[in-house]
Amino acid sequence: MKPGVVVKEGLRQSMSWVHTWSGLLVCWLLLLVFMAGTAAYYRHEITFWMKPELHKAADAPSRIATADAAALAVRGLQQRAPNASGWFIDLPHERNSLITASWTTPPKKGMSRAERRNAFRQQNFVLDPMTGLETAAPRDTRGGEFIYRLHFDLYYMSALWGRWIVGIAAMSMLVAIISGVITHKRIFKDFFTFRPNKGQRSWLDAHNATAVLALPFHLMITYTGLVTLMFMYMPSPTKALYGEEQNTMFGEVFMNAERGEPATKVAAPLADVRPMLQQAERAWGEAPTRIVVSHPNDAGARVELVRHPGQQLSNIEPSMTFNGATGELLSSTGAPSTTLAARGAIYGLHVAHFADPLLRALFFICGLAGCAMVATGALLWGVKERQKYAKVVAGGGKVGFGVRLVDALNIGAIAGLPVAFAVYFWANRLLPLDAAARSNLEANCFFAAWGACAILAQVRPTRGMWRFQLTLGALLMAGLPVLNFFTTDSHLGVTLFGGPALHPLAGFDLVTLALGLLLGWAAWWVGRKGLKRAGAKSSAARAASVAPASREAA
Amino acid sequence: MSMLILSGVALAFSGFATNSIVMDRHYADIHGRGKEPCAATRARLRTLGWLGLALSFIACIGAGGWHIGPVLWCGVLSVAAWTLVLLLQYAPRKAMLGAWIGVPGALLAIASLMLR
Amino acid sequence: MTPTPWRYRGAVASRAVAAIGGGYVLTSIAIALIAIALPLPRADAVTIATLLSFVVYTCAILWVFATTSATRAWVGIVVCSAALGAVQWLVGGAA
Repeated sequence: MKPGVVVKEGLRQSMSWVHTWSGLLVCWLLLLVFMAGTAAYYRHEITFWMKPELHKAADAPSRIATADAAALAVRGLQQRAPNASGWFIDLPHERNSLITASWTTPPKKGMSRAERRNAFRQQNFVLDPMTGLETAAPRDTRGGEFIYRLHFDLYYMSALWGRWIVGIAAMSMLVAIISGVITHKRIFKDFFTFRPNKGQRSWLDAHNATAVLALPFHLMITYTGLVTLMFMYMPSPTKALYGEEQNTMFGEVFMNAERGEPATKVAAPLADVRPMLQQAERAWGEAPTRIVVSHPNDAGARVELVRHPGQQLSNIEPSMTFNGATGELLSSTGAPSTTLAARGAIYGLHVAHFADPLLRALFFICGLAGCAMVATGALLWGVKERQKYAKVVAGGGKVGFGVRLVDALNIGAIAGLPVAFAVYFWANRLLPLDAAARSNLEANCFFAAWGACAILAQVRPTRGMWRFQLTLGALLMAGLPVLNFFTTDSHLGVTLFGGPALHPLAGFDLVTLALGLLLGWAAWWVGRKGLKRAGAKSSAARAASVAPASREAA
Repeated sequence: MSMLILSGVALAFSGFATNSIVMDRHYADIHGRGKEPCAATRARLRTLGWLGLALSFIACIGAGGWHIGPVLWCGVLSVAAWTLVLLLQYAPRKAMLGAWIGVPGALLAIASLMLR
Repeated sequence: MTPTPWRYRGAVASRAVAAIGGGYVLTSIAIALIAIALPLPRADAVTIATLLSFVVYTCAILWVFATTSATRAWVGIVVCSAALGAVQWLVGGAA
């Protein structure tokens, strides 16, 4: 297992060992990160599906001008939160004609950790562009944002802990990918090989196919994921060149030095945003997509207009910053240096905001392949280890502790996580609308479901448990479009034929249906294998009893 | 633009398929155990296969530009490769016939690029 | 099945610490040095050096497990860290 005398063979062997352990120790956490991250490509669509109250208003036949939408939002914010520390306005665009506005209030001294967390969570409202009035209040849900945050902040812990844990898992995955490539002996000869129904060989083929045939994606997503938080994980260059002035570094690298300016505490009414929008639109040739106001109604107020980066990989959003009290232009993001543009592109590749619907679907499919890669790897290890106990089991004994633990963890993660995601969406439709801390409740349902699956799996890590959890996941996932039909007016019968704003809803229903069918097929396949195995055992026993008799007769 | 992406997928599938059928394992799957392609066939089909992949790259650049095109190409390659893997296992002869899709794919790509 | 000898387990644990802990220290020193050495504006130098960190860390980890013995791994990590650290201290002191 450890390298021997011959260098080449030794390298492959040691890399095989590294690949196994760097993969196995974090694979179940990686499954969570990968599943949530893959879903997060559609987090806005998921949030929209989870707020049925907004569906009708979004399907407006026409769109009002950006400047008017902004004025409506500002008026709404002046009514609700004139002294907030920050305002955020999402302006309408082709895919969604709603205007979303939210604000943050600064935390006060003496607040508990939970109160502070709630104070930071943005309060928001949505305006119907046709009437200028607020839409029916959408239900209290974090929607797709919960899933998005889950994949790097985790949950039930401070974001700092979550990001370190996920970072360690991601680094382990990077090591696993590189060591996997080094140890893969026949990477070109076996490029298209897949031989089903051959036990361990088939699991290896499946692991190779999902891994190698999307290797650029897996390598990219892992590395770029680490890059998104790289200044936290690897602070030594910042320390060396900036010393303690970390904020200066952030201002220079992320090119948003203006945003951090503190309030002056001198009151001054906010200037009209419409001329600012016109100025930006003239300079850019297209309308801004977002407005960020720091310290509204303060002499030091700043209005930042942001627009979509356009046809490039970088996620750096060009912005123009205005003095909020006087309306004069203070700065606009210049062209970033090659290095900073490269960093923006690397970050951009991870979040894929540049991707049009087809390309985003490709990212989604490759993300699912990543889940399959991790799952088949863990299952392969279990199958390999189990073989070492074949004689023991045949003699009526039990498998070792490691195999049993891995089997149980596999069921809990591979079959249990889809159940958890489905339960989260079911909770969104079924929890009472006026429940206290409803969004927290939805998240708790996710973890309760996952916990139940994981514990059941530990109690009984059998083939039957696989079938049970896969079937449960299949029913819950495929049942979502049906549930939608009974609980809302935005079911497939409406959304398939409605305007473009409703298409994401149809997409959600269809994708969950497809995933449910996939899980159902998996449940059937697991059951079939069991029947085959039982049939083989009994016919082998019969053959064994016949053979000596025939030998004696001959 | 979507015609270009479609031709990119067809060309990628064709390129991979052409390359795969002269690999020992898959040649034997199609033509019978123990059979091997002769050196001339191997060279010819390999060249055509790589040509298909290169044309697929050009189609994707045409569809998405120099920045987004290569990203699109990687996704197209993965999907084409997975399709081929399943076909080679369950219907190897169809995979060989399917390789011909590169010809209409190339024509579609050239037409789309010229008509822009 | 023969039980794994404790000596083997000790060697594995030793390499793990050298790779994960020692590798991180070595990477931190190396990339700080790269940032100092790059003749670019601060923001660019810091960005390039930090972007390279995961490449350096991965190589360090893989080398620790590929090399012929745990002792050799430790020697390599400690010597490289000390050498690069000395260079950084000298350069940092002069700047």
